[in-house]
Amino acid sequence: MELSKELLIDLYTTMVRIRRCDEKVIECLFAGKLITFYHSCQGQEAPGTALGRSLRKDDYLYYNHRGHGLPKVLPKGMSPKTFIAEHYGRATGAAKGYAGFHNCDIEIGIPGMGGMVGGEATLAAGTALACKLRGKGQVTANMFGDGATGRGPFHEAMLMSATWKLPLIWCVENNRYQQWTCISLTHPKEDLADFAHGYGIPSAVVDGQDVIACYEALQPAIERARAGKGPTLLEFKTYRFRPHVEGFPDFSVQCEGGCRPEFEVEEWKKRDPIKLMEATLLEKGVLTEADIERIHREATEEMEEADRFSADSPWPDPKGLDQALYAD
Amino acid sequence: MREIKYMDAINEAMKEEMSRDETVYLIGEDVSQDIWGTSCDLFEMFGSERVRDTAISEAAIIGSAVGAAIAGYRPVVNTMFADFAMCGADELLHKAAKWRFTHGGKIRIPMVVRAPAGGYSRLGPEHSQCPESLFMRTPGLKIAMPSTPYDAKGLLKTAIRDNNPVIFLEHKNLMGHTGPVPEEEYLVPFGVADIKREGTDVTVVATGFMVSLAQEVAEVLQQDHDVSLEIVDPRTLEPLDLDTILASVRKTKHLVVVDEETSRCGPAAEIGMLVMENAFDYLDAPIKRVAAANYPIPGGYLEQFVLPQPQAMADAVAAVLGREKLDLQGKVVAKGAM
Repeated sequence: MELSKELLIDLYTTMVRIRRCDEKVIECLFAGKLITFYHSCQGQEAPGTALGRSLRKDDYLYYNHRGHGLPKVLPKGMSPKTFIAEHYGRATGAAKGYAGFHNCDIEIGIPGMGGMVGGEATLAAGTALACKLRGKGQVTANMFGDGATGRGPFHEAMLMSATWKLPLIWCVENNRYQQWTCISLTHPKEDLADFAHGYGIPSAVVDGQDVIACYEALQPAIERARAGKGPTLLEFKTYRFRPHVEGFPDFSVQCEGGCRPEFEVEEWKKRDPIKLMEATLLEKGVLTEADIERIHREATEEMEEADRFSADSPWPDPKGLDQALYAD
Repeated sequence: MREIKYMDAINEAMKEEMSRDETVYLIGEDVSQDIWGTSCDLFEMFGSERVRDTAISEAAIIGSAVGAAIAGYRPVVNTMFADFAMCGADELLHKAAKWRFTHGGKIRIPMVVRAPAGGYSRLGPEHSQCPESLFMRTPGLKIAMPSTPYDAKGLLKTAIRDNNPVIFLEHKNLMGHTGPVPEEEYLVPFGVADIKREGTDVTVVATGFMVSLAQEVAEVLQQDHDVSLEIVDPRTLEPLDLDTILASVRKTKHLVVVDEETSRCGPAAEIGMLVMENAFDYLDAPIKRVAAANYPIPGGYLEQFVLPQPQAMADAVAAVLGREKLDLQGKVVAKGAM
């Protein structure tokens, strides 16, 4: 698969924007400006970028808590302004300040995120059913972490999607840690893609640090869903560079010293998805050092502007509580 | 007016709404058959795309309904037993109830969860519950509890057209009850209580199967003891028509609240408190409640000692009126008593 120069630059730029936005949110958290918590997505920018840039505007995307959806919703078209404003609890936020971190924009096919790990799976099955019934070639994607595969509803939804051949792309980002517990303690096998065998659907294990590989793996899965042939399970091997949640140590009780081993983190950092793509694009002559510097500078400026916009935005009016609770 | 069964009234509502709006579909375990008799010809009429039998996956049934509703469909779930809905608690109490609010009111979740509820059939603790308090303490849900065929049809049609998640607690014991239902189309609005029996001495607020039981009790109390009960059926617990309840209390000065849910933290507790807050000065006596005793519902013989019984209703009426005893002499028997 030969990806166009424009697409390659777009994938790279999107990942840089995600990284800058994540850094900005963390900076604001420690500056006391955030009104909620934050789960950094640094290191896991590639799979969501590839997914968000592969979907149509009228396709649906369910996401999970890592980066509060940042690496999925930004590529699908959400503005960093509304993303950060939500974390500031402002009325201009992606959930009008009602959730702090459950970002939503149904106009661009982002129905939202829940508070239970893996809780979006059954909803994704229903949204995919709606896509199928409507018959306009829409698909639904659900990107979630390895921890979600421990939950019953995920398997119920997999079963339903496989039986009814729903237009669904199941994307698991396997970063090997559910909060602080290593997958070796919770799952009998490292490859979560193997779950697909039991449901009789295709699957693939993908290098989740290589955005081009992620993009290439997604295309047949999406085409298959659009063609009415049913779901696919893609497993992206990836890693989070920072602790599960900001402000806590990088716990991992079963590891020596009670934390994730530093060498493991350092090994994975050598495979930073942004740096890998940067090297590829320089090598291909798609970008110059000057282009890269400009992309980073513009992303930084964009996030500073989003921060200013959020800080200047009004608080939500509590008079709106009733309207938010029930629809007319 | 013609008389039809409660189960057939539900069937008619389903047929009419599925014909009217092609985004309405029915989903659940064996919904093409439905053990309570409400499905009849639905599968023949609408086929497997709109009458969807599923695996035994309550979370996926309810959760998928939420996901389809967000994307513009109007799913109707049937959980077979209200108790089974607990297997989809996250999907129902979090996703269906909260997602609109969580996301700042930017999405709509028009769906109905039909949950056949209630005891008196000796089916044991996990097939007999009336779990409305779980739903009442969950803002974001609406709750309908039809007590007659007329209300069942009219409320279900309203529920399906509502743009919010509605829990529809159809009572298993009422399925074979008959009552007048017009041939022509009608809706029963949410949040409008119905005075099922007018009276002067005591207001009895009752829901679901308790309404018919209270009506029988009221008849005997009138005949044998010259006590006049006014039975107010809220029909929906959310929204709750508090005004009609308060108006009745101001008239009778006495209140008994009857419901089939476990007494502790049940609807009777909430309604009693609301009346105390809003009409205390009108009451001539403390409010009494009649509800299930604070045990799991036993199977078999012991069930009758836990679920509300007619004489307990008469005793509560006697208590608020300051009377010694109003003996029903066994003239009213709840199904399931031995």
